[in-house]
Amino acid sequence: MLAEVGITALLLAFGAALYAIGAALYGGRRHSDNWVHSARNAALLTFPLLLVSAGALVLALITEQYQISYVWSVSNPTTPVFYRITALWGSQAGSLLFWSLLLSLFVVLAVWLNWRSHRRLMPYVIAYTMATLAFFLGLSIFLENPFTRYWITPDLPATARAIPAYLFIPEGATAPSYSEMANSARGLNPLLRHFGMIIHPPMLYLGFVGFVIPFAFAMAALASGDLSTNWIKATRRWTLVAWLFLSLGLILGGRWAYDVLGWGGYWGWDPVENAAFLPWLVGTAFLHSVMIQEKRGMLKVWNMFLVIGTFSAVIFGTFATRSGLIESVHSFARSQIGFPMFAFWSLLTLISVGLILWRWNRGELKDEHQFVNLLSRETLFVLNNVIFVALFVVIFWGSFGAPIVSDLFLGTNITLSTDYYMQVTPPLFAALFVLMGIAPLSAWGATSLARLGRALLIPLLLTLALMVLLFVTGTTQPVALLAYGLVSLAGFVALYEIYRGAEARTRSLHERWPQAVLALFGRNRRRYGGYVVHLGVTIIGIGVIGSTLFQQETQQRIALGETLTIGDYQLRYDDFEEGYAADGRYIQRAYTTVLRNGQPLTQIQPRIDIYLSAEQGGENQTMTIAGAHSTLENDFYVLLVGWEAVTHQTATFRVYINPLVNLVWWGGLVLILGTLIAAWPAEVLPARVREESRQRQQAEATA
Amino acid sequence: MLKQLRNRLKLQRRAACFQIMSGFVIALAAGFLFAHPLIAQDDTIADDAVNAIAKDLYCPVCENIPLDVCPTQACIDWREDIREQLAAGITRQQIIDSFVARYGERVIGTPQDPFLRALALVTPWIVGLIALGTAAMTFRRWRGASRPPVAQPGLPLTHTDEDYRQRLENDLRERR
Amino acid sequence: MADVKLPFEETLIPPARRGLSLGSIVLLVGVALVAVIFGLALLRQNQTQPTSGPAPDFTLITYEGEEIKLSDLRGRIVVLNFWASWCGPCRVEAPALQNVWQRYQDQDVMMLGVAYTDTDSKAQAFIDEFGITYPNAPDTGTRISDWYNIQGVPETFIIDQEGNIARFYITQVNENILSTEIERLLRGEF
Repeated sequence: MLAEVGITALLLAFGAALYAIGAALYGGRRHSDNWVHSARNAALLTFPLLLVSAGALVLALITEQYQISYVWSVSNPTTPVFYRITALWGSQAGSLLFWSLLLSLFVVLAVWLNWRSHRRLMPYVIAYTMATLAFFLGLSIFLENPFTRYWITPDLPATARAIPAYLFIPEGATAPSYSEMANSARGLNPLLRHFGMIIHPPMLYLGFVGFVIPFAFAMAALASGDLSTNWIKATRRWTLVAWLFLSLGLILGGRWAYDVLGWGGYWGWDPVENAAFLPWLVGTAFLHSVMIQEKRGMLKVWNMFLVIGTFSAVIFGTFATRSGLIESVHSFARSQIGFPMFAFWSLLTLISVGLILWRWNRGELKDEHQFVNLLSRETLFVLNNVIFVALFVVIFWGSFGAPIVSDLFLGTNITLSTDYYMQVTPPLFAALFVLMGIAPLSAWGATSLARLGRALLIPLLLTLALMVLLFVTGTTQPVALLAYGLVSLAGFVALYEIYRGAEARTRSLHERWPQAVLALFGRNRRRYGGYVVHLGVTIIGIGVIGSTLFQQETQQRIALGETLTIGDYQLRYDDFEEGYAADGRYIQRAYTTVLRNGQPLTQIQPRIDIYLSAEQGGENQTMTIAGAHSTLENDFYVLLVGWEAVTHQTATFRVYINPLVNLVWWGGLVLILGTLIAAWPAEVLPARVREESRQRQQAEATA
Repeated sequence: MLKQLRNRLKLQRRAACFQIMSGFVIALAAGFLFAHPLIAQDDTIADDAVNAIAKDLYCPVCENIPLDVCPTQACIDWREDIREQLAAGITRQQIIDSFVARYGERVIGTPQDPFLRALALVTPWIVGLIALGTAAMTFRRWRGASRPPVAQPGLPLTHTDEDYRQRLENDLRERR
Repeated sequence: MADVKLPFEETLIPPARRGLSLGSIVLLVGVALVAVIFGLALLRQNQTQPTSGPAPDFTLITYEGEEIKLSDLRGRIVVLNFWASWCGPCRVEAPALQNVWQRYQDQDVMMLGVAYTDTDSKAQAFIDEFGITYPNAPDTGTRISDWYNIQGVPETFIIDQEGNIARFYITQVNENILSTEIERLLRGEF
C-alpha cells in the first residue's frame, strides 16, 4: 500500500515538474499570465507530492515493510526507530528522493517569496528549477526507484538465490514471507549510525540544492535579457543560505570523519570530500565578487561564470560521488545513474556557458564603472577571486584531473593525496588570509597606501604581540609563527573594524558600548555579519594550523597496567572487556587512563564494534571507535589497534594528540553565527504589521 | 533480477576479499572472526617507525586511506613488509621505491616518476598563472578605460572619528 | 558568384556582431573537451572484465624467476587466476586449482596464478601452504589487474588455444566448473 502511495506521488510530482516547464516557457514567450500562474502552481505542488512520497518511504521504514527493496537494504529488525527514519538518506535510492524533496522545498520557497518582486524572471526560474527537479525525479523513477518490491513469480526457479524486485506487481506473483525478508534484511551501514551522519547529509544536500536558486535566477536573467542587478538582489540571501548549509555540511562531515573513521584527522583530501569543497570555493568567490557588481556594476560576466560554476560543481560533485567515477570511503556504491548524471552535468554546463557567451558577444554584459585604482577594494576582490579559482583548479586537478588524465592517456594509475595538497594549497590559503586582512580596510575605487597602512597599524601590532607571545611560550618554528600570524591578522582586522565602527558611534552619538555594537550590526548586517564570518574562518584556521603542524602520534603495544608516553601525557592500559551488546553488536573495549605528568586526568575506552551480518557468510562490519579526551588545548585521541587474543595481556594503542582541534568546531559555530547575521532579513514582520505597531507606539508615546 | 543476483554475489565475494566501498568496513577472513590477533612481530622495529613510512603509502585495496590507518589484512601485510625491510636495514626511500616498483605509482601520494610528478605538480600552476594573467588584463582594461577622476583635494589622511563615522554611514546608505 | 566584387565592400559598417568571438569559441570548446574527458573516464570506470575476444597480453616473472609471456602460450588453454593470500575464497579454491593443474598439466593446458597486491613473503607462504606447483607471479605494478579490469579476488579467466577469452568467473571456482570448461575446449568446441 505504502509503495503504491509513494510511487503515485512520485509520478505525479514528475508530471507536475514537466508540466511546469512547458507551461512556464510557453507563458513566458506569450506573455500569458495565466500560463505562468499555472506553471507556478504546478511547481508549488511538487513539494507536497514529494513530501507524501518521502513520507510513505519513511513510514515503510518505520513499519518494517521489508518487501520494499529499499527498506530491506537499509534496515533490519534490530535497527532502532531513530535510525529507521534517518535511513531515508542511508543509501542511493532514498537519498536521491530526499535530495529531490529538498530541491523542491527550496524552489517552492524561492518562487513563493520572490513572486511579486521578480515577475519577469519567474517563468524562466520555474523552467530551470523544474528541469533540474524533473531530472532527479526521473532518476528516482526509472533507475533508482526506492519503492520496488520483491515478488515471487510462478516462473521463478526454486533454486534462485535471490528474489527479484519489481516496480509493478507481476502477474500471478505472491509476496515473499515476511519473516524470510526480515531475517535476511541487511541493516543500516554502521558507519552511518552517528550523530554527524544524521545531520551531515541533509545539511550538505541543502547546501547543494540551495545553489539551484541563484543558478536559476542567473539563467533566467540571461534568457529573459533582464541583465540588471535584479537577479543578484533576488538571490543574495538564497546564496548565503545555501552557502551556510554547505559550510555546515562540510564541518559536520569533518566531525563525522574525525569521530567515526578513526584515522585521527577530520580532512583526508579524499576526492569525495574535495567534491563537496569545490562548490564551496566557487560559491565563496561568488559571494565576494558579487559585491563588486552590486556596488560598481563591474564583473558581470565573471559573476555569471561563478554562479554557474558553483552549480555545475554541485552537479559534478553529485555525479562524481554517486556514479562510481571515483572510489572512496564516502562514495555510494557504483550504479547505473552515472551516464544520465554525466549527460545532465555536461549539458547544463555547456548550455549555461553558451548562453553567457552569447549575451556577452552581443555586448549585453558590459561593465558600467570603468576606472579603478590599482590599489582598491575592487582589485583586492579580484585577486581574492583569482586565488579561490586557483584553489579550485589545484584541488580539482588533484582529485579528478591528474588521476583521470594519467589513467586515460598514460595508462598509469596515480593517486594524489595529502602529500600533493600539502605542497600546493598552503601558499594559496596563506594568500587568502592576507587578502582577508587587507581587503576589509581598503576603499572602493581607490585607496591610498598611507591610509591603508594607518588602518592596518593596530591589527598588525596586535598580531606581532601575539607572535611574540607564541615565541616566548615555545612556538619557535618559523613556519608555524608565520602561519599563525597571517591567520590571526585577518581575525584582528575583523575585530578591529567592528571596534572602530562602534567606537565612532560611542564618541559622536554618545551611545553606550553594547548599544553601539548592536546598532552597528543593525545598520549593516551584511558587512558586520561578514566580519564575524571572517572571525570564524580565522578560528578554524588556527585550529587547522595547530592540529596539522603540531599533531603528535605514536603506536605502541603495552601490557596490562603498563603506560605509554606521548609528550607529557601517559596512557595506562587498565582492563579489557568483550561481549555482545543488546542490539547484537559484538563489542571489544579497552579501559585506559589518561595521565598528564603522572596525574590521572580521565578514563577513556577506545573500542571496536563488530556488526554481524544477517546473511550466512555475509560481511561483518567493523567500526573503530576512538576514545577521546577533549579540551580547548587539545584532543587526546586513542584508537584500539590490536590485542592479544583471549588473555588480553597486551594491547596495541594508537594515540594522537591533536592540538587546538576543537577550534575547528568552535570556529564553525562562529562562522554559522556570522552567516545568520548576514543573511537575516532586515524586516522580519510584514509591512502591515510593522506599520500597526509603529502607530500603536506613537499613540502610547503621546498618551 | 540479474542485478539482485549480482549484488548478492558481489557481497559474498567482498565478504571475504575486500571492501572498497567503505574503508573501515573490513572483511574478516575466516579465522579472524573476533580478534585482531597480534602478529608475531619483530619488536626491534617500533610501530612508529613503520607508520612513519606507511603514512605516505596507499594500498589499492583501501582507496584513498593512508596505509598506516587502513585495517584490511592486505594493509597489515604491507606494514609487516615495511617492518621486515626496516629490520634488514633498508632506507626509507628504498622501501618506498620498492613499493612503487612492485605495485605501481598509485601507492604513493605524489608520483615518483619525474614526468608524472611534473605533470601533477606543475599543471595547476600553469592554469593558475593563466587565471592571474586574465585578471591582470582586466586591471589594465579598467585603468585604461578612462582618465582618473580629479583626485579629491584635501582628503585628510588622518581623520577624526566623526569623519570616519560619516564615511561609514555613507557607505552603508549606498549599500542598501 | 565568387568573383563578383562589391565596390563598396570596404565602407560596410559591421553590423552588431553575430556569432561568437574566437575567445568564446575556445572557451566553449575547452568546456566541451573537459566534458568529453570525464565521459571517457566514466566509460573506463564502467568497463568490466573482458568475457570474450583476445585476452590482453602480458609478461610475468614468476616467483621462481621464470619469464612467461601470455602470447607465447598460443595453442594451449590458459587458466588465469587472480588471487591474494589475504583473501578467504582464494584459500578455499586453491586446492581445487592445484588438483585441476595436476590432472591437466600433461595436456595442452597452462595455469597461471597472479597475486594481487600481495607481499612476496605472504604469497610464498600461501603457495607453500597449498603445495601449489603451477607458475605463480606477482602482478608487478598492478598492471595486469588493470588490463583485465578485475574488481576483486579471486577472479578466473579461461583463455582458449587461439588466445581468446573463453570464460570468466567472478566467484570462486571449483574442480567441476574448471574441468568441464577445459574438456570442452580440449575437444575443440569454442
